[in-house]
Amino acid sequence: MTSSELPPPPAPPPPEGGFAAGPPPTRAPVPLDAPLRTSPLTIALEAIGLGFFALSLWINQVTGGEPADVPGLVIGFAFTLQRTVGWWFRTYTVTDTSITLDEGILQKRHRVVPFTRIQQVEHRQQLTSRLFRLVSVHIETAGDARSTAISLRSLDVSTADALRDHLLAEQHRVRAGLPAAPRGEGAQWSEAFRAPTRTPLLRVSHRDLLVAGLTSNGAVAAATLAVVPSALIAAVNVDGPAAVPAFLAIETAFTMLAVLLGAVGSLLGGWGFDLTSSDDDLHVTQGLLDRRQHTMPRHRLQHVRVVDNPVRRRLGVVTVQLFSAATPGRRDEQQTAITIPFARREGLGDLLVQCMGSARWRPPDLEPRSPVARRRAILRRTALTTAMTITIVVVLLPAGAVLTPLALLGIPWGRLAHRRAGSALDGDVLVVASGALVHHLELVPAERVQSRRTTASPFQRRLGLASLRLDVAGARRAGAPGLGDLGADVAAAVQQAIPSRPRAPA
Amino acid sequence: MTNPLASEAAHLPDPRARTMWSLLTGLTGAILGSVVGGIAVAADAWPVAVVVLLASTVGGVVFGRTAWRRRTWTLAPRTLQLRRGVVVHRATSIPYDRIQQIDVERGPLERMFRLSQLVVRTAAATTDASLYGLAPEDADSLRQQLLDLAGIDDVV
Repeated sequence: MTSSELPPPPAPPPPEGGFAAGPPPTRAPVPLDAPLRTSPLTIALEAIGLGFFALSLWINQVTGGEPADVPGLVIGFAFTLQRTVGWWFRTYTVTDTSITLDEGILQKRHRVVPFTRIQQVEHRQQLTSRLFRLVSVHIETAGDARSTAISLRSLDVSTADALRDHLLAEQHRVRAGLPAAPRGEGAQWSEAFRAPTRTPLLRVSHRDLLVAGLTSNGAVAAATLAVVPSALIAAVNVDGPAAVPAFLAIETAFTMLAVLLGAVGSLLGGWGFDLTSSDDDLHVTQGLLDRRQHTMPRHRLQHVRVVDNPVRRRLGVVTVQLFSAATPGRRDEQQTAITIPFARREGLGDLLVQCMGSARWRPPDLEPRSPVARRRAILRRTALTTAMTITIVVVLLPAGAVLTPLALLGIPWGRLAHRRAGSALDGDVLVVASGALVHHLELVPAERVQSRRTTASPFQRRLGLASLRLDVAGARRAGAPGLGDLGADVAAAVQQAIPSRPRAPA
Repeated sequence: MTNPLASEAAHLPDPRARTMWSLLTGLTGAILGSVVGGIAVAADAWPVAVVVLLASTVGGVVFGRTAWRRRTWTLAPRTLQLRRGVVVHRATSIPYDRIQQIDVERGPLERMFRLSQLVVRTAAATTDASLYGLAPEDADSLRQQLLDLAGIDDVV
């Protein structure tokens, strides 16, 4: 599929839609302007806890148990009671322009999130809440998700789906500058209330998930790192030539364990991975035990990261992460990104273009770094491997002397790092790629770059090189896309590619 | 008199900042020097101690003055450009329309030296843009000017 065949961006729903005409609505309308509570089943869930604490307290009284248990039980009881009462005091209200959350028993909190500020909506369904057909809805805005998001625990599934569809439809309506749908009986039948049709983009089969898990960075890294402890364990516990098979056995065991854990995690988390699009939104559904449904409007996308490692590269497999400006705070960044666990490298361009609905997302051919940067890459890594080798050799003397050639590993490592690094910084999507083992290809729309940083150490300056970082909303310090050892002129020229208004005449 | 902030030349921090920074770095150098010097005294090498103390103090002052000279800000046509760093050179450039918020900060030491600092924030938490060592009146007018340049577009 080429870009010219892509469907044009969907037109927003007409402001005055034909009401009773057309097929019946396939989702429940969201009551407007009325404070709503989450599902009363929350009470049932909490009441189980409350009952447990009450029972424990009572048993403690009757049997005259340890008095020391009492404070803990009282605190637990009070906590559960507070959560139960808190349910009554937690209401959300959907208006024409925003969703508000009111909560708190004594200290009231009133949080307003305008539709235009929503970055993404996520539904999480834990195993226990699946029994009750309940969903947690997380409405995320830019910034730290802990302090800015609205989280509604325990909505029933149909209410939650209707709420999400409504919020996103309203966001597009407000962005398009259209008036709110008319209220009243007929309004429920308007175009805006029809469930959006989903276009399938990608499904990941269980077999592919297994491959993704078996080749995950964690599994590969664990297998690599396990070499050192395996060698030590073998060297300490087994004498003579038997140490070599012992080492191999221990290393294999470590590797198998890591790979197995990776595979199980990948299967559980990604089970039934399904990526679809509707209007301007991307949707992901995944998970076997805990189910997650993630919806991100395309225009919220801040940057895209394509990750692979040597094993995946051999298989032609990559992982793709789509980031909005919502940051997970201290949580794992996976929590707010849409992660496609398995994609074919050869189909990557088509996938990105289809996901984003724009041909500009096809990754361009990358410009390699200069030969000076290659020399530096080899030199730095060889220095590192030499230092590590000397340490290991000294510790394991005299037998360790055999390991001396390990110092030379820096040469292929540096060459690989150089070969896999590159950039394309003159388009309207800026691309940087780096990493010898775990390889990151970062695609940043130029208009999403908030600021550009360059650093140049004395060694870099001598060679006319500089390191580049692109600051993007939502990325954390370690996650800002960037590339080291670019030509200083290339790094400086990035400014030309970043669109901005010229300053007004002084 | 023309508004100095309107030019596209690279601006240095206020000279009072140079005094403050070289005092601070000189003091740091003196403290480090006296630690090393103390060891030399314990080894009964008085001349070494004196030389080390002097050298590190002077070195500290020179470092502070260099840091002052290296730290510049420029109002380029489309971007605010900041440069700093004595050993590792760092540069940040921020398109004006990406500016979300500008804080004026004055610590106790800065108040003593009659200095202000502007912290420019964008939607990215990783943006690293502080203008240290401005005269308070410069800080206020520069802040206003940057806010005018920034406009009020929703960029996230």
